[in-house]
Amino acid sequence: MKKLGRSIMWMALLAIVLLTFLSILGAFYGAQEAKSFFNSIPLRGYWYGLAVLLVAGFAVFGRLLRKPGLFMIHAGCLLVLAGGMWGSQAGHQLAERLLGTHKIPRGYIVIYEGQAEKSVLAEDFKHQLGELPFSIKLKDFRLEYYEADEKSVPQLHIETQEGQCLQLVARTGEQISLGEGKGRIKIINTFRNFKIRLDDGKKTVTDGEGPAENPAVEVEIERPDGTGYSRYVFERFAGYIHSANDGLQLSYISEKPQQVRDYLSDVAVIENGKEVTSKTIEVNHPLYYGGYHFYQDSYDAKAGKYTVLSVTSDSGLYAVYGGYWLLCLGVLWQFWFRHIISRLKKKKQP
Amino acid sequence: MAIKYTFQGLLIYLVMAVYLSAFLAMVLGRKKAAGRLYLAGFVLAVAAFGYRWYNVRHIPFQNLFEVFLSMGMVIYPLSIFCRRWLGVGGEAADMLIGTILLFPAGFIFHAEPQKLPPALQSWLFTPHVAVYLASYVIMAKAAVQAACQLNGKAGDAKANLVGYENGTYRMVCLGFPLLTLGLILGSWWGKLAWGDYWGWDPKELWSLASWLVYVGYFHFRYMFGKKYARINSIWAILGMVAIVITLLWANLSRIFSGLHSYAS
Ligand code: HEM
Repeated sequence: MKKLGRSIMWMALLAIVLLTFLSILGAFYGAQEAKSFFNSIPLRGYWYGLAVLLVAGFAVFGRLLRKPGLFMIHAGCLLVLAGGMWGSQAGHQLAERLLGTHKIPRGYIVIYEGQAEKSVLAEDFKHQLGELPFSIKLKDFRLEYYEADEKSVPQLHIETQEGQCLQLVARTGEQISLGEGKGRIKIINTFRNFKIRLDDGKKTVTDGEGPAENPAVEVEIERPDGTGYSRYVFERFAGYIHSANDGLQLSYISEKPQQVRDYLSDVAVIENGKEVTSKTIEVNHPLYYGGYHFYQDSYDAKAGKYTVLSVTSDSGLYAVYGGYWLLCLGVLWQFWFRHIISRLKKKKQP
Repeated sequence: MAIKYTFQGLLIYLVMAVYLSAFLAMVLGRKKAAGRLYLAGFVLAVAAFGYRWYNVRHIPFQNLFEVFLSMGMVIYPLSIFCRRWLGVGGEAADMLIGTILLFPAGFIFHAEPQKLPPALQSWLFTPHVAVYLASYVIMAKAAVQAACQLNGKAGDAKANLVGYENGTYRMVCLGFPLLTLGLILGSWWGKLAWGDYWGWDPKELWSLASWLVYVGYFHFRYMFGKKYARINSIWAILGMVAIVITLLWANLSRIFSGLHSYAS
């Protein structure tokens, strides 16, 4: 028995070290490839092996059952492992074969405003993976923005030769000193759509009509001795530095796009022709219905006419969550509470 | 690398200077003065943290600048707690750790305030980051204890402190539940925000690897006790190496591009 316990412990240690290395390896693959790697057949073998080791641990080490902290830690790991396997692609296939259930593990659903949709698409948005037993209707899709603040004012950023960073509001007439005895910089003119026209060999600078395609600003740099010269700074061509060899790095930001605060899809679930529930799906606030979670994933950036929700099945999820609870309580008990309680008891006994 | 010519920057540099003077006082054997300076550094660090909070109007845990600032603050209460309750010393090293933790906040990372993007607007954001940054600081203390053990130093029995091997174990025991909580809260949050509790993202995998190193430490130490004390210590140091990679390399390097990357 003792020998058996020792070999199980060795195998557990090896399994833990191996998983550490595999995790590091997976980090180099990137999420997509890592996911297929950890779901590949050899790795499936590893997961089964780990589960068996944990069960063997319970069978061989009475301590793992008797000590509440150790029990919760190891049972939690086992539950997370089981839930993960159950919720995987392979787990879904197995459930289909054994139990005849049909659930789509994961996919996307694209819904236009005013329409109802039940077909779930693969990541390429072309292949259909299957249909939900109900449909989701998009009533409205909205974006919410943060209120504009001082940062959305056009700005000129200046980095001096010494590495000092300055900022100047880019409005005609604004100016700023470049430091003691280093002169100053002044905004002469701003352009939404900077253009150069050649008339009879003479260059003229104009602010063109139409959308702001080439925002720019004209600045005047005044040297300490009173002489000066002017420079154009283009927003879209930040690296474009006019002949001046002044060591000044200038960049222009005409306006910051308003930052999105939230994406919202007002949806309703339609089953057998009737609306059974409705919800506003936001980032961090998914809809849960019929064994699936629906998340805000993407949207029609051009016209705001459709929303993209990601759909995930909840198979195994509650086992994983249960495992998480056990694991958390287990480590807290084993490493903290147990000691706090025994210390308090000791204090009571003089 | 850039110097911050702001009030925020000034506060950070002040804390660094005070922590460093505390360390020097400690080295020179002026323990009382060192303790007072350390406390003063902490008060200033709280001011720097509070100022940042007031400026960005959300708890400053969002980017690496804010995380390092916060870590530079929690080191003091952790030092005191570990000495009083756990008999684990190492304050001189903690003062140095505090200085080192503030260095990236002071000189490397940009402090430009950012709005919270939708994915971060969750109640899980604060506890997830808070437990992680506390556990990282604790594991850094564990690594220092382990390094002292490897150096063959004897513990300070006079000061009522445990030996370095035990000190390492106690620190890992203190930090491990927080590390576990961080991993699980992150996973739960991932489920709420992205739809998956586990995305096999490089940052997730690195944090799993760091956690597993400590799981390995516990099992190894259970199997052999203090028979191979040096290996126990190396294990704890490897855990810290994995954490540093998780925190810095996995976030900043383009090799590990993923949902958590701040590289862009
Ligand atoms: C793979 C099969 C595993 C086996 C057979 C196993 C077995 C054991 C045993 C026998 C102990 C000693 C308990 C004691 O008497 O102090 C232990 C401790 C522990 N195990 Fe496992 N374990 C396994 C996997 C895991 C995993 C995956 C974790 C992940 C959390 C884990 C976490 C722990 C922790 C935190 C301790 C406490 C160590 C301490 O108190 O110092 N174990 N394990």
